[in-house]
Amino acid sequence: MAGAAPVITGWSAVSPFGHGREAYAAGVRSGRPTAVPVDPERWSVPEDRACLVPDFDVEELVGGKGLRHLDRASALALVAVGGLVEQGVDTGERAGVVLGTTSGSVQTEMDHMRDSLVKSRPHLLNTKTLASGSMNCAAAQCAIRYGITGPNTTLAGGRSAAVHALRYSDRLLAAGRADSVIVGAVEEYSSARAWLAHHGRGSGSPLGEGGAFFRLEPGSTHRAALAEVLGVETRVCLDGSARPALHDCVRALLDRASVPAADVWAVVSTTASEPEREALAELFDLRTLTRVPGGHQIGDTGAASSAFAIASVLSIAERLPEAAGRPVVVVSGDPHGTVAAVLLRLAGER
Amino acid sequence: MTARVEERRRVVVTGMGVVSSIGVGVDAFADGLRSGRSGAGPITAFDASGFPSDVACEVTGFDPDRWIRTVPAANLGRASRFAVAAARMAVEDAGGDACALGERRGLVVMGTTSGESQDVDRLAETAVVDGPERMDPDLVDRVSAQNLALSIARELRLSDVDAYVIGTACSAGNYAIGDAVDAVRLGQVDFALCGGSDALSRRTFATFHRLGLVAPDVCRPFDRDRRGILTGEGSAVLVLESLDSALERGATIHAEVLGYGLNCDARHPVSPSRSSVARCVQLALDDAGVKPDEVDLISAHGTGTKLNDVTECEAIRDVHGDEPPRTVSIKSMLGHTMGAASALAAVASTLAITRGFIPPTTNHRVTDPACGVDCVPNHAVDADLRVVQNNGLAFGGDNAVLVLGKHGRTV
Repeated sequence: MAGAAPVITGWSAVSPFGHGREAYAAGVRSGRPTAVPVDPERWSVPEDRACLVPDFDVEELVGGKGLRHLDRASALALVAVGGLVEQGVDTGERAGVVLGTTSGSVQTEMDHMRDSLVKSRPHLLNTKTLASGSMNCAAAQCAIRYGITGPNTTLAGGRSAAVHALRYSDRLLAAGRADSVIVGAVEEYSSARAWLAHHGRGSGSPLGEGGAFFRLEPGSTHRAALAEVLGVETRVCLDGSARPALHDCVRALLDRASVPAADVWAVVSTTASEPEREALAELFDLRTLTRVPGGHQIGDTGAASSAFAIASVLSIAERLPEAAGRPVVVVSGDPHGTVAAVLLRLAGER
Repeated sequence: MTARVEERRRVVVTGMGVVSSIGVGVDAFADGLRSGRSGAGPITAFDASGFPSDVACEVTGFDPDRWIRTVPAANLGRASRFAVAAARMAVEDAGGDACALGERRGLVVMGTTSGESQDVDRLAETAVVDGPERMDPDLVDRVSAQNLALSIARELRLSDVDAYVIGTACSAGNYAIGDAVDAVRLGQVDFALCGGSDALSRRTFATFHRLGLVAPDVCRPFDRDRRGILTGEGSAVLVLESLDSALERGATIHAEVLGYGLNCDARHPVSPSRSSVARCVQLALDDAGVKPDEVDLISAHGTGTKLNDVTECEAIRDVHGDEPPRTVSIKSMLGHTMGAASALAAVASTLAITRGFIPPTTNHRVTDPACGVDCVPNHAVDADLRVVQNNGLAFGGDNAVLVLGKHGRTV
């Protein structure tokens, strides 16, 4: 099946570990926690700790003016995607962006509603932030900034957004709609999100933020692959418990790619909920399940969590010769009732 | 995963469902389109006092319990209720029962601009009035935009589906349908439920007013005196499957999806680009294997704003020449239903083919010479249509154009 599967040929991240891929990889390998006390002057939130991207100044990081009015999700996307874009490869008509999100910048949406309620006239919203009120702002900003005029898709998929986005992107390539796609997900930290998490189906972890993006290309590319994407499976959980759906999902993922569970080198899970752990323990041994750390160091990064999990795999594997050529499973799930899994084969000869 | 596939399955529409301000259900919608019904009326969804206008196109007379059976409708936000109802109608129209779909591999992909915008508005209002600690957890639970697709899957008891939402603003419906077309074409899924949904919201209304894009009374696409959009709401869902699958089932085939195209202006957050829109139309026609002069009708994005209509018509002329096919905007009747708009227009395009008529552009007085299209003013006309092009444009420059064809057409 040489050349059949699309491949990841680059990645980038902006995370609570810092800016860029190296900072993320070093952070994952170090195991250091990133939660810090939240500045009450800046954020009005129910929880006092969060995993924030440090020293985040979008104008300094991307270069240019007029970006400070952007919502934080768009700014994070600009920085993360900017760390990956190569002129001529990721730009122009044959290049695309697929950006995973939960619901865009909820902070901006709520700020606009606040304006509507408290201003002298109900339509007097802040004109500087109007574009940020649209869910597709982050992807559109990336397209504008970097000159990416192919497919530009914002995909809302909860915590598994990056997994759904990866499958969507594979389809764009297979249908011949692009020659390369920058695909990933982003999530901002904000007061609005903190309150929604507080009242909602939170994970119990402190909130985190950031984004991770990958360049996905057809297997025929001449650029060196970091991993092949052998398959993606998702399920909707119909009867409350994620356990049977996850079992079915991972089983189908392996079967469709003809990869025996025993061959899998590592399984990384973004949520590590009890049903998820149980379902995975039926399929994989403990060593396989613990080789790559889950995302707990950087908190609950929402839509970005599934992208960060893939980045974690690549971070750990790049230093370990034993990982070369081995299959890896990344598992994600959203508390609203989805499970999703990606099967990668790491580059190199086994 | 999927290698580039040269041999493509043909994709057909076998089911449609509609919730709209001019009719709930496909027949009522078709009647509304043919008779030029207006969905406009005084806003009831929120207190519109103090706004420069108080007119929008709201869905009325919609009884969710008639369509939503498995999931408690009370747990769904308004956009999800629309989506689930439209999906239920579409599956019934397709002649399939949901149980049979549950045994097949599928895709549920819905487009939206603002997801459960009414719920976000209410939560924001609570935060302002009573403080964020008083937010209603039931509303919080509905905010994730993916719920539009998940609710459909849950209602129809579909587990082996990829269910997600595309948030490319006002072209999201076409994005979702296009994605579904590819999934069926490539043989990745046996069926797809695709479309769009959005609910009227105060924030959306305020945003478009702030941009100066809301008409005070009616929406007049392509008219010399057009003054902007009316905001609207609704949902449309289509069932797509391969031609072989439809024939095997003996299903009624409404139309064939000949192709689609998508691209991004990458220039300006809100102003469309003529050359980029033209390129998107060309991409769609190429994908469909259709020459510009084979298009019998264009269902335009046609928002009724000064800028959109001129730019879009220029792009149309760039591709279709100085005498483009008749170009209509159903937004004159439905208002701008945001992420649902191009999905509703895709259903309208399909109905135009199957029922042999061109929906009018209503409220029309004098065509703007700068637009210069035959917009079929005010009255529907009978027509035998073989190929219909459905444009979707969006803020962010996200364009997607769909091309539908009469089933069994011969070129």
